[in-house]
Amino acid sequence: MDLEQAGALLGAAFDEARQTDLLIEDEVIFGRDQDHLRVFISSKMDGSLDTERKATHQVVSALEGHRAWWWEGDAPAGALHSEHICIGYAKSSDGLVLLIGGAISPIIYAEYQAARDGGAQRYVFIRDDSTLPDDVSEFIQAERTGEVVTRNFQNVAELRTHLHQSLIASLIRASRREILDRRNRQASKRGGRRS
Amino acid sequence: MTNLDRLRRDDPHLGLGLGWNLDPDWPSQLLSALRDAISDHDEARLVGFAKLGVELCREDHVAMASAIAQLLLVTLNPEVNGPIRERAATPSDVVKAVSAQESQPEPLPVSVDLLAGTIADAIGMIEQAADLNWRAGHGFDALTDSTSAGSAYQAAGSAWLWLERADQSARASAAAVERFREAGDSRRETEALLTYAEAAIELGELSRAEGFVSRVGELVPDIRSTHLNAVWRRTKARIEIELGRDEDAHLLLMQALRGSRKSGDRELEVVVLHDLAILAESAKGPKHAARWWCKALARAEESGLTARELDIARGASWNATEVDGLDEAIAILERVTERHSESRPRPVYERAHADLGALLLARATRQLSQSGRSSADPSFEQGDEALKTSLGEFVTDGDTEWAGRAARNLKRSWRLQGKQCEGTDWLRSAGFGNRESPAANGLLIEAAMLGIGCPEQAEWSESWLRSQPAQLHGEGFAMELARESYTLDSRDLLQDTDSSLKLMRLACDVAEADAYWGYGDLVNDLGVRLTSANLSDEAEAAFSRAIDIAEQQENRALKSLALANLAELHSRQSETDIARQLFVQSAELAEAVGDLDQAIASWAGTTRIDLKDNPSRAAETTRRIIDLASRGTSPEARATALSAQASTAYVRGSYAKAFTHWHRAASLSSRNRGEYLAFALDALARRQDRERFERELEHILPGMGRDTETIDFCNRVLRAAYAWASAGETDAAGLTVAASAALAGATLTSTQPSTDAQSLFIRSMAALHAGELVVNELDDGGSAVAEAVDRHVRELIGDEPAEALRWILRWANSDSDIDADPDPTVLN
Repeated sequence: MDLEQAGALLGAAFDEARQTDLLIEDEVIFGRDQDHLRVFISSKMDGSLDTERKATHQVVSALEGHRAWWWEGDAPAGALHSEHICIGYAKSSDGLVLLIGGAISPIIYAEYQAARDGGAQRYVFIRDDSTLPDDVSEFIQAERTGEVVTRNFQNVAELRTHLHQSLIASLIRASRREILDRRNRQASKRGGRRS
Repeated sequence: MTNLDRLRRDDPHLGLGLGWNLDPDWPSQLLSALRDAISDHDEARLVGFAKLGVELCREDHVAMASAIAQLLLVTLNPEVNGPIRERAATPSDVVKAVSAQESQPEPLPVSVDLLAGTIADAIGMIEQAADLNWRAGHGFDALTDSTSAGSAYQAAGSAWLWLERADQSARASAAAVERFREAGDSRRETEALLTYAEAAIELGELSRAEGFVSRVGELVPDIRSTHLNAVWRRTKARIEIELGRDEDAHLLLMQALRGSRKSGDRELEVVVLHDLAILAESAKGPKHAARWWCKALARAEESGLTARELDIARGASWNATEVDGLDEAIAILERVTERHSESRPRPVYERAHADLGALLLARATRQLSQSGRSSADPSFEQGDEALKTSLGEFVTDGDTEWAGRAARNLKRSWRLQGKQCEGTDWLRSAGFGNRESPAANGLLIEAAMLGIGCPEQAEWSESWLRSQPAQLHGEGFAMELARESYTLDSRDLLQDTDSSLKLMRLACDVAEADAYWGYGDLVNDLGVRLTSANLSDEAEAAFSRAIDIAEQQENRALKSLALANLAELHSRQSETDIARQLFVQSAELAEAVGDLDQAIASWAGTTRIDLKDNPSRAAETTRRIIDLASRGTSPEARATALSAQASTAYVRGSYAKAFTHWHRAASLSSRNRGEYLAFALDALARRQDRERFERELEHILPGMGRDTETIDFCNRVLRAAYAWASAGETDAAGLTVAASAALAGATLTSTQPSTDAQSLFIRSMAALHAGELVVNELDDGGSAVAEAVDRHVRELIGDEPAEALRWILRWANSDSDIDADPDPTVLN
């Protein structure tokens, strides 16, 4: 007997064993058609969080397989802020990063709700020096569940570390299954007619 | 000849007699008339033949269209020599020859460009089709022929859309819309607007797309075309899909499907069926979508739409992986790639082929995990071959994205098979390096990443990666290296501690040189890798560096993480005072930034230390952990909190409570499930609850795979063997060791032999040794436990596998370098 034969015999005894190493198998399967995971950046657009938005875009874009959707870069040039389009994109994103530095507008709530309905991973980052109205504090409290990453930050460096850790931990591998759903939305592009 | 009925029955201008298209020998008639026109140097007639060629091509007479194009080309350019002048060329050679010509803004050359573009589209040379039609569009513009220019631009826009080059498609479609509007052709304007809308959707410009669709909505009622009405609804549906309004999208697609059937447009019907399959999969799940995939695939096949069929087959195989399993998914792609192995339309054929390769590799990986190395080999070889072939084609076509996918899958395959050297060599010597294209350069990066794990290639790999200017790859290059490092330190079949470490060092060097904003995070990650490699001094230096950076940046989040890692390092070295102090600092900072998961992990570190020396303080901290866990944390953090509670209960002798907590922790954890299950069993052993112990073990064993979780279980469960033995339950101790050994043996044989201390192979060996040490210690000169182990192994897995395990144990014992897990009894 050699190790191969012994392994085959022993392996046969565990034929009923649970499928293992799904991660590598999934990596291979999903590597077939890996559309980028879209991470939607949501926050007030009054200029108060511009630096944080840029930093978030930078961190998300640096991760292989991730693409940040943000108004500054992805909305059509010259178009006015279109609520239903933002909400639509939030709903069909894989992740949503919500940056909070004070009050939250109804459209931001709507984007967040849409992302939640669409099954996106959600990350809520709150700037330390923010004065939060009651509704925002209550919202954060309600969302502080195991499903949502909530962290405070006092500067951009902290925000970047939070993003780096959160995205690596929860998106790189754990979300492979979710790519399937997202892929289908993206894949309809291949339906484009040629004549 | 049925399609010829649509053509004009006579064309005296071209010299074709009445009813020429009904004559069985029409090709000879046509070519004879063409030769006459060539002899007469009659440019207007030649232009007419080029237009007729376009019509013939659209009616599937590609060979005749190609012959016309070839004759016109050699007439146009006397300098064209070689095979194209000497004999009948293939349509693809004709397309290449026309593409190689300089553009001329004269009627005949522009018409030949359009004809060649149409032929290219028909034979799947989509890139050439786009370029030739774009060139023809410019030519017609110069000749002030708006309608013909619009048609050419429209064809270019559609081709680029197919190639997923939305910006180019938008540019061409915009030009088409403008030309048709100038010409007052609202029907063609509508068609162009719909292509433009598709491109805008691709570009994420939904407002713009909605504007075009709305304009089409104004034009469609007057045009009264069922076909265009159906395309319009299909495009509207796409916008609804992008906005997540699935029900509206479904309704529109069903209307479009009816419209396509009514107008007899098979291609549109197939496209809409494809959309419905995709939508159903996304909105209602794979099972519901399966019937749409079947319909779409069958209709595409019946209709002879090869490119569509290949594309749909890819989606159908995705669906099959979910609904019917890998074998069926592979069968779908095998069937379709075999059927079209002659024509191989680009790029869809190679994509389907590459997908087939990936699925074969996935099946090989599954077999590797389930049954060990030997059974996996055929699928690996088949998958490798498929991917190598496709990879070459992707590089030739400059398809960077797909070349990258194929290369990454090959890289995984070679790593799983231990063929890092062979793989690196293949990627380097296949000639890709000599081709100046981003796709080829991307492959060299993959080769270098793979080569890090090959002793003969490591030096080249490292120096090549270091020589890459970071700006060439954007600021994500350091992260790309880091990501590769994470992959190789995931404690699975790909574990390669040494390579992981080298890559993370490189990532840090690149990040530092490039003043990358993530440098501090990467240095912290480097420390984790150094800890795995047991390089404690270097790990300490890395964590200290990360702490310095964190302090400079006033980054509490990074400091908390680095402090926890440093604490863990000191804890392993039994420097408990320092470790505890660092854990406390880390936990407080984590709480300050609202990272409750990290806070729980760090506080749990202090309880682990306090359990031995200060149980009351451990109990107090545990209460704090429970409070934090109740504020909304991840399942993993809740599992850590439960484990801390279990440990406190265990130390107090409350084994029933400890069992319950660990059992619940195991159900929440994906990272430490094996460990928690083993601790739960140990608690039962302490309670001497043999019945429950056996019931739980019976439940746990079939659920264990060949992974790091299993090895954690194999090591930790040996504690229960000591508990049983100390209670005089020799047989139960034997059962425990038997379960550990059988699982560890199965895991050992599922992986490649390796000397990496963190590899599953070596850790399985260590677990087997640990089991034997327990038996030797417990038997203390007798053989009661050894006999019990032997008996229980046979009962658990049967006689033949038990014999195989005995052989494996003898084989493992012949290697004296393998030590047991250093500390199989650490709590939490």
